[in-house]
Amino acid sequence: MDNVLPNVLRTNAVDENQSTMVESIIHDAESHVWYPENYGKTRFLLQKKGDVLASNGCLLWKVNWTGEKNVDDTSASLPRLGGALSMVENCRMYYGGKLVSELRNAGARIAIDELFTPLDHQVEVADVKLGSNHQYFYNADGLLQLAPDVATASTATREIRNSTDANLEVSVPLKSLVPMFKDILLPTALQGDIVLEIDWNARWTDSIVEGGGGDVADVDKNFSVERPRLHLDYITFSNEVAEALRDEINGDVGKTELYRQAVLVNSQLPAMAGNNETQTTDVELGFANRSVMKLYIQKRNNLFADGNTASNPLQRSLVSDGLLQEEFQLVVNNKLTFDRNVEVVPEMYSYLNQTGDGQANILAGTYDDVGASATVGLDVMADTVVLPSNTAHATAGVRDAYQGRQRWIGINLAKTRMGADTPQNAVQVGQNNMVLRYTRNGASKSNAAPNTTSALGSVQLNVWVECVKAVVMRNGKMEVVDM
Amino acid sequence: MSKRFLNIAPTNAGTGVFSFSGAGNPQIIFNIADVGLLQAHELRFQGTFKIVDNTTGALLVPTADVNVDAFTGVQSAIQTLNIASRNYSNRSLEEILQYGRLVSSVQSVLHDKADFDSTLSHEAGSKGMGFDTVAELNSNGNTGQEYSAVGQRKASRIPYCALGGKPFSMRLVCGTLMSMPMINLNDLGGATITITLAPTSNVLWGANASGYNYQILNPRLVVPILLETPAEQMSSAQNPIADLQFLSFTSLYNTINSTAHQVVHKTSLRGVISTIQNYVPTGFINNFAENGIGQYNPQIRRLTYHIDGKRFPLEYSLEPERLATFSESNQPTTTPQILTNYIDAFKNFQDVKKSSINPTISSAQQQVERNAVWGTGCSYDAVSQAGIPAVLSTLGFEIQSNLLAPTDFVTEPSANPAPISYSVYSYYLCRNSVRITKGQGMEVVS
Repeated sequence: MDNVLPNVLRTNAVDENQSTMVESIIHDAESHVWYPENYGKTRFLLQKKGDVLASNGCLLWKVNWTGEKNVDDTSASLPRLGGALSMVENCRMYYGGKLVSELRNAGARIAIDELFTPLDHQVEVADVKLGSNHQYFYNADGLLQLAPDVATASTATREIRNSTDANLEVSVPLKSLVPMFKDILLPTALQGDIVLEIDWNARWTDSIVEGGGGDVADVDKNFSVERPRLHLDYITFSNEVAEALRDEINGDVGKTELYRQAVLVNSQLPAMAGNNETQTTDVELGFANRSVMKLYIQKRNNLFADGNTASNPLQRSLVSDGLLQEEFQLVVNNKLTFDRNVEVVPEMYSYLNQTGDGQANILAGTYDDVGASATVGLDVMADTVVLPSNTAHATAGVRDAYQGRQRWIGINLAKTRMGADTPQNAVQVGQNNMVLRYTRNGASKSNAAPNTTSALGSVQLNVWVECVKAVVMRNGKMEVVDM
Repeated sequence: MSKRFLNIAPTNAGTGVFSFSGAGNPQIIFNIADVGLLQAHELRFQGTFKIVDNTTGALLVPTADVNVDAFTGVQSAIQTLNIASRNYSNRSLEEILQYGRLVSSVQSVLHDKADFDSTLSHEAGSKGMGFDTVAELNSNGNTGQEYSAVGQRKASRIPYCALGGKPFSMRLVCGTLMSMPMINLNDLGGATITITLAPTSNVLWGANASGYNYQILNPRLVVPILLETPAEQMSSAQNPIADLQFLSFTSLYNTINSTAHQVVHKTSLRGVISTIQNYVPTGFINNFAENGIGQYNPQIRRLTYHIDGKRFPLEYSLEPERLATFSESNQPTTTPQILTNYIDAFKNFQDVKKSSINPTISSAQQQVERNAVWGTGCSYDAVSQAGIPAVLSTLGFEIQSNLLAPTDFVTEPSANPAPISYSVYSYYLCRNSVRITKGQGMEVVS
């Protein structure tokens, strides 16, 4: 009967192949070590099952506050925007001993990906997965108020405890940790082991937010990642498809697939000597003769706005600080990408908005003027927030910690924008390296208080250049080629 | 092929200050050269939007009751948008009159409050109105269906008070740019984009608005283009004829003075895809005390769409459930028939996953408070999206409504409140096809 029905009468006609099977497994780590205030490392030796490793797996772990004293009103939680991502330092995947994917400063890079999901998703899904809290509302004074966190020992609290059975549990998609999974599935029939390595950031001041009324003693600033594990899906195709795939990757001609790789380039903007000094820094990015899709840039003041601490107390490492009179330019093939330096903040947002898959959803106030306003009445956000703790205790400093601190930069070099970007859409860089030109000036012309020690200080610049690589699967082996 | 972002200044830049009622020119003209492929989706109009005191020139302060429409933001400063070919200057591709009202409809239907807060506010300062997250529901002592409208209005105002003004970088909402991801500027013979600014009294509103005017400083057009290789240019040059297919909006204005009124448009359009209307009491237009871009329901009792006097595309009238003995504020209906068709005019309503339209923000009370989202419309060709021919036909609608002033929404019908005049802004989205013979001219194909 089906055969005589014209397709137009079917609302969702799909070519269904029932012979494809998915096997889902939980995969514990082969090894996991943790050195407080130093680093952690986890190694997974992935099972080789089915025909391909699917891209929709995830990494799960528990966060434990080993140093919790629970004697006074102190508490620990994860950064509100990004949550547990602050703990993920690097992620590498090897196949047959070859490095096929590496993502450095992975947490911050994945935090950028999270921006390109709708705010509803951030509130309703990411907050569940990552232990973050994107909820807010506008109070009667017109200020954006971060919603209070749930108190200790309540349902859905974000507080980290020292407990074997009441840890905060979080997860990150495999696709985010290993960007190549956005473009290809990984055949499991090739020679050699598949190894996934995670480097953790074990430093308290990079990952954990303190709440409550008291200060956490230095000796108690000790947390750990517990029981990291993978949820993986393996796909088994029908015999015909599986055989064709095996024949192809075992043959002399082989199969070549393009995929993206986010390469981190670190640099520093040096400190400025005084007010009104204009500073221009050229950062040689490299990538001559390579295909490049896009760039993402994170800027971190090496000194927080209070002039004392090195890390943003409420957002930790998941920040991109707006700089005073910030300007940038990208030189590709000796040509300026932008006619004029990009200096208007909404224009920076527009470019970021065009860089990801979807629109960039960034909380109002966190992209514009930097830090607490020097002029009364011009702050966008309320200055206090209630973090998880035994007793509701408002923590101040939201304006310094959040306003203008999510100013991520994105530049898309894609040739055409017809939906999500693909490696095929990359631009070829010629013989000369790409150069990122960053300019800033110590004098503020915005709402923010000018010329603070923090604003004049040095800035850590993390640039992820998304370039194209290819895997060549031939004679049962995998080769990786730069494109 | 390489990508560049051109940063184009107006041809009539002068001192760099543009304004409707203050110092400066009320018209901004950008010329784009006939080189490269324009990535139309990424084109942005940018500059700084400043609200200043008429007498002292001082910047707006948050305590002054001066507002800009929450769903439109800086976009409300544009009265007319015209896109034309430079070489074939007698041909406009698209001209949108009352641009702010179109943007108000498009943005409020296709974006929810969270979208406004997290994306559109960065681009054009439009923060929307309504519920952001669940936390909003429980804040400020709310009891479930309220939010702090006063707070949200202040929140919208604060960015406009920034020292130096509110910088913006916003997309231009029009069929031409939204429907053609890549425009060959060589084929088009370059482009001219002309922006005419809106009257101050229709942009600023509030108790103190009449004491202020707005300015646009250093406007620029950011034009992303792909530069072709010489071989590609040669290949393109060898083809003397180019065809362009694109969408455009046609805008028309009417007033409704009768509680049973017929609106008829002789549009002379070929592929008409859909129509939308939004309404405002006529006295609210160009009125500092009221939001001239606000959206209101003229209390429609029956709405029937026509082509040549026959019912089309709906074979039935839209008749929202109403109780004749209830005041407007007490009517129980959320007018789902009307709003569903309104959404359908933008895209299949089943594909619209988020919108500012909801029972709270579309309610009569929110219209009284000047925060509402409401409109009418329908899709003429929901199946093929090819559009219907209306070159020789008349399109229109018959509307039966109460036409009450928002201040009378609480008045009981037994008191016989007097109707007022409403203005209706109609926009027709249509499909166009033009043929360009290089060096000679442009002709409309269909």
